[in-house]
Formats: sequence, C-alpha cells, structure tokens
Amino acid sequence: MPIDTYYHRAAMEIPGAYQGEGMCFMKDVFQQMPEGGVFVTDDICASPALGWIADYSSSFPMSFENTEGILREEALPRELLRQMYRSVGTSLSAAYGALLRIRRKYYSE
Amino acid sequence: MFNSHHTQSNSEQFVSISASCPIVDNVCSAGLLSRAQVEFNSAVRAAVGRRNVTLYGAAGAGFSDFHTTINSPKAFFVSHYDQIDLVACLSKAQEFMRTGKLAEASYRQSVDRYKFDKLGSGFASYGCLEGGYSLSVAIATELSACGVSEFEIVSTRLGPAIEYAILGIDYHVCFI
Repeated sequence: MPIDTYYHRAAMEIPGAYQGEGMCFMKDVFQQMPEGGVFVTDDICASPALGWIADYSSSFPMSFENTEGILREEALPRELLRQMYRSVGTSLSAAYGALLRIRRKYYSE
Repeated sequence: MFNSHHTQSNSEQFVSISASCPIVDNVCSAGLLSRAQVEFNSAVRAAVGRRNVTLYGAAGAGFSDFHTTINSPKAFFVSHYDQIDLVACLSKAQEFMRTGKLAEASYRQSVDRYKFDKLGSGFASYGCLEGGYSLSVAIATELSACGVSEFEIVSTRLGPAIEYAILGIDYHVCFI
C-alpha cells in the first residue's frame, strides 16, 4: 500500500530545506502518492543552535515539475484557525509545532 | 464531522470534534497534550480524512500527536535514530510498560520532565533522542498515554517496528 500521508511538525531545520536538493525525498513521496494523498506540515523552521526561527510556508514546493499531479492547499475551518492564532499570536516561536497546513494531491486542476 | 456542527457555539464544536476519537481523552488525561492542542489536531484529522500509510518526518517519539492528528494504521517514523540501538530501546520501553516501572519514584522525574516539555509546547524537544534511555521513557510514556498497554517488536526490511492495538484497531509503526 503506497504512502498516502506525509507529516511533520516541530521539524527543526526541515522546512528551511524545502527548496534544497536534500528535499528530493518529498518529491519521491509525492510521485508515489495516490490522488488524495496529503502533506500535513508545520512549515516553521527553527534552529535552536543558531537561535533563529522563520516561516517557510511560502517555500513549500506546491508544484513538482515533470511529475504527475499538483498539490492544493486546503483551509482549516476559519473559527479553529482564529482560535489557534489567538493563542499563538504573532509569535513564530509559539506557532512552531502548533500550526499545521494541509496540501492535497490532485491529478488535474 | 466539523462541518456538521458548524452552527454550534465554539465550545460545543470543540467538544464534538474531541468526542470523535476517544484517544484524545486518554492523551489529555495523561497530561501529555492540552485540550486545545488535541482539539486542533482532531480538526486536522477530520479535515484530512481517513489515512492508510504515513511517513512521519522528525517523528521522535511523537505517538500522541500522530494518533490525534493523523491516526493511520501504518506509519514510518523517521528521525535521527541512527545513534540509538533501537531494538534495545524498544525492548526497554516494552519492559517499562509491562512492569509499570515508570510509575516508580526513581523514574517519575524523567516522565514528568518529558510530559512537562510536551504539554508546554505540543512537541518534545530533541533531547529525547539523545540517548536510548530517554527515548525508551518517551515511547513508553507516549504509548501509555494513547491507551496502549503492550506492544510487540517485529523486524522489517527497513528497520524495527512495533505493533499494538488501540480501541480494537491494529497499528504498525516502523522506525527508520
């Protein structure tokens, strides 16, 4: 049975490498995923050793060139997000490990 | 599940989300994740729908958030386990659960520190992977919080795996 879900949260430096060569495994996962497969990720990158934190959600590889299918981000219920943002505020540190995004694979628009 | 209660008040909505999975009550009462954290996780789980096989990156010992957020019957937990003798570590966790040793005073400090860390942020620090003992405590604490009373260790082509049941559902988690 193929992997139909990729999940990470509080994954330290992983989001910071979304655009790097080292993330080719995500492409492999995507290629093997059936339609409806999902990426559930916390896209905040944190490096305690270097003392920095940043949001890499806009760097997530939403489209994989030369591969079949696309990823489309899904919104969580608005009230739930409002409540979560109320608890984490604008602090990236508080959002780290807390806020998740869902991106689902489709074969066509 | 979430949409069907869309007209209810927020608190009623959250209660109904939580009620969809008894695992969340176990996790909350064990003091591993807060009610707000599992409610958010449960909403994500409702949104993604039923899953079959998960690749969990930077997994550590994150069984409680895995089960409350994704809960697929099969998963691959990927982390920096390479410095740890995983089979020995899993055997130790198995022993902790079979004997109930983690409830003893000599282990309480480790368990309480792990729970405090996880409850405060929703995730465990990298420290739980710094040694086999820490990971054994973390795995036993996490699985117990999910309502697991025992598990079996099995060997797979990719690495050691464990098999257990929660509420009559069989789970298989392989560590890579």
